[in-house]
Amino acid sequence: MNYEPTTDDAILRQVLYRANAAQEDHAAADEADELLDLFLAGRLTGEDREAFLRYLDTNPSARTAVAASMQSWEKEAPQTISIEASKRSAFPLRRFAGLALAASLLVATAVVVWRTGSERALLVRNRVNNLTELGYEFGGIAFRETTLPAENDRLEAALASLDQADQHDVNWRLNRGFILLKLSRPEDAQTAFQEALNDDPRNVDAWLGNGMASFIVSKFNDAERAFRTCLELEPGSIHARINLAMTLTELDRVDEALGEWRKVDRAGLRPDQQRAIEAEIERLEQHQQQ
Amino acid sequence: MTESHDIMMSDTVTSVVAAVECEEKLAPAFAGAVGELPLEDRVLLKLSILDGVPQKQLAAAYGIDPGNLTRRKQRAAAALLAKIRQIGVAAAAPTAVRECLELLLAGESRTLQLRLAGLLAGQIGQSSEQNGDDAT
Repeated sequence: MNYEPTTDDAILRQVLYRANAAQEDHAAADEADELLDLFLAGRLTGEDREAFLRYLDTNPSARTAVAASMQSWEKEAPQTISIEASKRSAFPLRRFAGLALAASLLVATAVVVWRTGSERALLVRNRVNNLTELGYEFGGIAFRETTLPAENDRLEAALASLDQADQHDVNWRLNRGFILLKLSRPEDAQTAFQEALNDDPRNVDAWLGNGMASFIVSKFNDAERAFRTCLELEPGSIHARINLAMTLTELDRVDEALGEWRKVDRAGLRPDQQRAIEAEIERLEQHQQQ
Repeated sequence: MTESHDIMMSDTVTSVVAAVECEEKLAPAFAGAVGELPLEDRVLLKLSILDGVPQKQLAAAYGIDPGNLTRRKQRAAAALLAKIRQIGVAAAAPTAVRECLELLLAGESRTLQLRLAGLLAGQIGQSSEQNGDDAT
């Protein structure tokens, strides 16, 4: 059958539209977000790729968000992918984590035994950028108390691999701290991040992790201090600012929280994330008026 | 009474009511046709056609050359169109189904109607002769 691009696409659009599965699989959302960078860079393979495609297939809104990321990527016209792919990521801070954690991969070779076999997958998977990735809403409410069972097994295996590594440098401690955070072991994570800070007091990732661990154990003043230190070291950190805003909300300092939310540079975020921030600002403004 | 026979009963498909009815009847068949595509191809078509993701970005995500992606998309599209054609062929009342398909997929666009008719004509015509069916 000869394919006629313009007319056939119009017909196919109708078929696809009317066949569109409307069921959203929110349970897979966190995992999918982590795999987005790999997919955009054409480096998502095997089971992860299939799971990600299945997620896009059954979640029209997620697919639309990914499509928007792909289109914005074109505007920026990146010449390289790999770690640089994070430049158009929804969370630009990843590129710093990418560089830092990439080094840890070279050191802790044992860790590279991974389900996907992809170094980049390890970086993206272990990294935690902000509290929403740990099951918190912008308003500070925990919507998920623990990691998902499947994720738990993977993280435990990763932790075991890390513990077999001979060299324990800053990046090793960071990697371990992020895994512990995801495993809902904030006290242990805090120890790991503190050890990283002992080695490198100006490490932004360590402060970020430390702040998130403090937040989870309800040490909000410590969390605030950690996130503010992040912002001193890296004023443009979107995630530090988001985390700070969430912490200030927990401390019931709504005016300050609103101020931080308004400062978040939303241009680099996905449309759904931008909308979520706008909704949180609106919620806090209403709270303020009451 | 089969779904296709139900469609035949609405002997004209020019009204909005008929369009809704057509959609109800054919949506499962469309879902089936789309669902039969390989997952990779299905998502490729959705990202390309529904979401308008540029070829270059899709090629990067699929880890293949843009030229190969175009060919892959063509094959996937052809496969889906063939499945749509099969919907018409399998129908007990092919003419009515064809009209339904045209209404849903081509609307008032004469170009699309002609193209769709072209895609469907051969097999449906053959099927009509065999069945002695000339609905509408």
